[in-house]
Amino acid sequence: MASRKKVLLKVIILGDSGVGKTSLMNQYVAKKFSNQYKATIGADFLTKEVMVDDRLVTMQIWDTAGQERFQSLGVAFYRGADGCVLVFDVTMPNTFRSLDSWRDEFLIQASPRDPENFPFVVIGNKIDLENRAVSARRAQGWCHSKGDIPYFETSAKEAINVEQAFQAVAKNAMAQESDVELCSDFPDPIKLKDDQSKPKEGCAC
Amino acid sequence: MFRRKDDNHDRIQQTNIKRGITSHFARTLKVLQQRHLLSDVSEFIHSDDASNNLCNALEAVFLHGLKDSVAHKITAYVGLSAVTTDSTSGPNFWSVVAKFTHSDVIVQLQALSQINTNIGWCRAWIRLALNDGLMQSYLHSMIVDTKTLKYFYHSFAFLRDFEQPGILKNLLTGLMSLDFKLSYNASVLNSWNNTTLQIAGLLDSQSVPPPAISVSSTTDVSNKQIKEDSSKVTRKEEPVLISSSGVENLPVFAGVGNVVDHPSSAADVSLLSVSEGSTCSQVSCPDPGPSSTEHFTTLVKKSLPNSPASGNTEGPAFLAADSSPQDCKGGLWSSSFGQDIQAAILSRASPEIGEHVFGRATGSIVISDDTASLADSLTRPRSRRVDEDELKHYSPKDLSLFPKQEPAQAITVGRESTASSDDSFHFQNHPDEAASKGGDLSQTLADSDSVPREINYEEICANPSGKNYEEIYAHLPALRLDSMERDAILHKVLEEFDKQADKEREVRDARQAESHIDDAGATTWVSNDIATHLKAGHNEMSHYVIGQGQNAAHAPSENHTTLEASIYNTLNESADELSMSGHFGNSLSGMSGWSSDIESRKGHRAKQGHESDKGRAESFASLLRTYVPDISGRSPIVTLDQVIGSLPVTEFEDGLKSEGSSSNTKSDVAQHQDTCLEGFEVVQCADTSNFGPVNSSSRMILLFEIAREHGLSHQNFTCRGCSRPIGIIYGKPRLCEFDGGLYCYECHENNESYIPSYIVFNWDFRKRKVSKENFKFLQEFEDQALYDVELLNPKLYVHVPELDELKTLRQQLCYLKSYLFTCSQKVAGSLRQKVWPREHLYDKRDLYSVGDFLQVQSGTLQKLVKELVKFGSSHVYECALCSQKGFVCEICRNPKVIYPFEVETTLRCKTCKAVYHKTCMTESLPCPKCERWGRRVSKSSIVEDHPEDYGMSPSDKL
Repeated sequence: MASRKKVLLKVIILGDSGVGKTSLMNQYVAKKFSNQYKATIGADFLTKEVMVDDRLVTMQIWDTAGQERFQSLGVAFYRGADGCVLVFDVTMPNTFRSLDSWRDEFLIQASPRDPENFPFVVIGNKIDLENRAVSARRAQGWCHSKGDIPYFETSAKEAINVEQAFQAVAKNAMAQESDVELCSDFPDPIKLKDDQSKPKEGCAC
Repeated sequence: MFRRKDDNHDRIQQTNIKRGITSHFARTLKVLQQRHLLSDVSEFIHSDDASNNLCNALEAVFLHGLKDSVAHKITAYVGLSAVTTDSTSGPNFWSVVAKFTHSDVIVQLQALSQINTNIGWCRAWIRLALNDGLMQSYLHSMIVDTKTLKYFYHSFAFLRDFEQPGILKNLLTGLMSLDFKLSYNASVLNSWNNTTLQIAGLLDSQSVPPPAISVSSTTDVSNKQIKEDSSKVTRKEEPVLISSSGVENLPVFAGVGNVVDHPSSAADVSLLSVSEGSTCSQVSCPDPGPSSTEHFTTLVKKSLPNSPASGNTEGPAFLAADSSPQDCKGGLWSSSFGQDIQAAILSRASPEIGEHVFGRATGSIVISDDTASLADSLTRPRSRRVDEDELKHYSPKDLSLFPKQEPAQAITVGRESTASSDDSFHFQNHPDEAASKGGDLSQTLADSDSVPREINYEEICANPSGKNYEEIYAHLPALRLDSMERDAILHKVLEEFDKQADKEREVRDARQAESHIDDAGATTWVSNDIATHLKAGHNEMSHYVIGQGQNAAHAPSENHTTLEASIYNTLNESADELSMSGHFGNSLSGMSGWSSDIESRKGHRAKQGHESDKGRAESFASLLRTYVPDISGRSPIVTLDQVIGSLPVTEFEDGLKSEGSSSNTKSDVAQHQDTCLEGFEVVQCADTSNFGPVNSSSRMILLFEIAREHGLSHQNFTCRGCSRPIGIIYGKPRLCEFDGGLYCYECHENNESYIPSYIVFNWDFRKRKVSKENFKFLQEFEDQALYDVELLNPKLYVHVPELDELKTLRQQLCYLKSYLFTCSQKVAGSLRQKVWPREHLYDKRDLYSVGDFLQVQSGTLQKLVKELVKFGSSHVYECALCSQKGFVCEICRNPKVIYPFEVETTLRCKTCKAVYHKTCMTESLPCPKCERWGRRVSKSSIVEDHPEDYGMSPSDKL
């Protein structure tokens, strides 16, 4: 019966500035790509309805600013996230290196119930570019060391693997969600609703 | 360029235009109100740049959305295909306003002698309505009469907008308190000026830089010129001198290619030339970018066709030039200007086309001799028109600024021309920049020059008639030093050009002597000459600038012509005399700025010191005496020879020859000066610089420190403003509490003003008496947020509780800003709108303007900021996006989101900007986020040490 419920999944995209977070989101949500780089200011989200395992899921995808200078804004929206996409640029090794920090920071700020099994997905973006500098093997290795995080190599420009990556996030997030549901013996509709809308209401206080 | 009005899809654009009109109007109205309400209530508002701006906005109001039946001519207008129709046709709302205007008024307008186009009547109508204080009621009756509006205007028109006219009407209420005395019988009004068209969206503002930038630089020049010209009978000539915002002319220029068929074309041309000079300079100054270069090239191209015939044969060209004096005499004096103008254009353009410089310059001269041909070649009546308007528009701000007596005025004018030439000097730099070099140098030059120019202007103004120009002159070098230093590299080149220039000057002198009729109007003439001479003597700066950027060899000739043009344009006053001198102008050397002259002079002094010293040490009168006979002794043939001789590039190195001629010229100048300024003592420059007028940079410093009075002896018993003797028998000096200087009763009219430094350091809001100039200065800066309390006097926060409260409020506002500005455009816009024009309120916590301080005292600022904070915070709490951008206290981990602007309960780490509860975070506790990040950095540095960690093995590489 829970499967008939409309579910909201909050997914956060993190990564260094310029790795293609916004592009990935736009490619996934709007199927658009622009070569123009425009730094994201603050954070913004888009929603997309997807089907995951026969369930209609509304994905609320938060695109964040990778730049330091927007640190003056808080990241309270990490809280209540159901999934997190860590993005790096396969042509920029340092963006890969900082995945560690992004992951740590996320876990600290979001403080999920089960940090070890939080549904992350790692995306190595810009594989359409020639000057690749981070090998798939290296990235896979890192993902493995962090608890078998699924790793995708994408190109937001050419729409390679984008769909799959986000689908994986949604799926994993849903799995986590259902785990929680399974834990609670009574799938109490009120409680469920409470859980889902919490992030929104929490902020308005 | 031209926006089609029927398009539905640019509705938004139209809305923007409408908003733009309203805001433009509001802005100009504010300027007017500030000036006239604050300073003197009873004062009338005359035609000046502010009031013209206002008129522009009003014109735009009525122009916007005019139906095609009326506006179809715009295409022709903007397309510039037919020059003759351009100036007279175009959209106009005469038929509209005629419907609402009393027939008597219409008759009155149509009887105006200088107005002969519908546009003219429209514009005159606007001014008349303002004069009569009827604008508001006109607008009201128009808005009410929707039927008529529907007939004349599109649905998107400003007047048919459902909110804009209301706003405008409210704004117009603000005009009630102002008394206008705008002049409306002026031929200038016969065509639109570009500002109006831009505001109304008829000209694409993107292709044309906003006029605002250029206003300041040109206004001075045009003011002066207008002033100067006021003695003239015809109004037509005024515009000539007044070229104001050349920037706006650009598109127009580009299109003009036709022959002028006006009988007065010569005059037009001359006007054009003047405008060219300043135009270029303007273009270059604010925007050295592509537009100026483009403009440039157009000009060059235009003039090129004329020159090929003359090619490199300087001989014929100059002969023609020689013969021109007669022509000029017969015709309009302005015709002679044409030459200058053209020459100026050419010379300016020449840097780009290095090889052709000489040929072209000569060619232009030939052309210009013949008035008709001149007109043909130049044929820019249209642009001239625009210029007129612009001039008008930026015309005299303050008549009081101008010296009252003739000689002084002339000098002033000279100065002005210097300033303008200065601009052109920049201009010259820019092409170079665009063409080849990174242009750092020129950029810096431009920067450093802008201030000095202003200073010059002020100084000039301050100088009463009796002052000799030497003194003024003396001030300049010091101001110019900066740029001079930067130019050190150029000096060598300059020196060579210097010699060359001298030669040419000599030639010119000879010619002058030839045709010169030395009678009445001597004063003007003399002053012209002096100015010319001075310039000629020191125009090398521009020379070498050009030379450096391009081919050094070509520089001299161009400069000569340009300089001449500028000088003559500005200086010439009496028609006869003018025509003569204008003619001579051709041989004179170019467009160097006054200041640059001086600079170069300074730079040269070590080597060529004797020259300049000679000129300086002698009194004006003696200089002039020697000068006149000298001139007359020369024959035109000699002149020609000399000119030819001086032209070839190869002769630059000819030190002996040029030296001889240059010294001759110098003495000539000196003599000339002598005769005209008999009885005036030349003051040594060294002396004057010590107690000279305050320049704006030192004024700026005075904003931040309380000035001390030094006493009369410190000022050498002269007025700090005009240097006239004060004290003792000359009457009690007046103390300016702003700069601590003592002034005469003319320079200090006991205006009272708040003194910023007293406020910042003493929290003292008493108004104090300040000199006239300083009063103006203070007024101007009243709304500028320049005072950083934290920096200047942090104790103020302790002593003034209101300020302390504001400190907190503004801190909150600063925090809120980052939220609102990263939210939707609408939210950001509304904050901007609420704060405008005081963005510093949220940009920098401690920054205040004098106006702000006053509001702190009255409590209004606190109220405003409080409201802003309330608006901002309530948005953040409610906004789905902003509310998510809060913080979670990492220490207590309380899920309740906190925000930095909750300053009462939260604390923000200065380094990592994380926010904690005040109760959780104590000084002793390290910021957890900072610690974490520190750990990471050290870790990552280890990683850097072992790049193989994430590094690539060769096989990994693709």
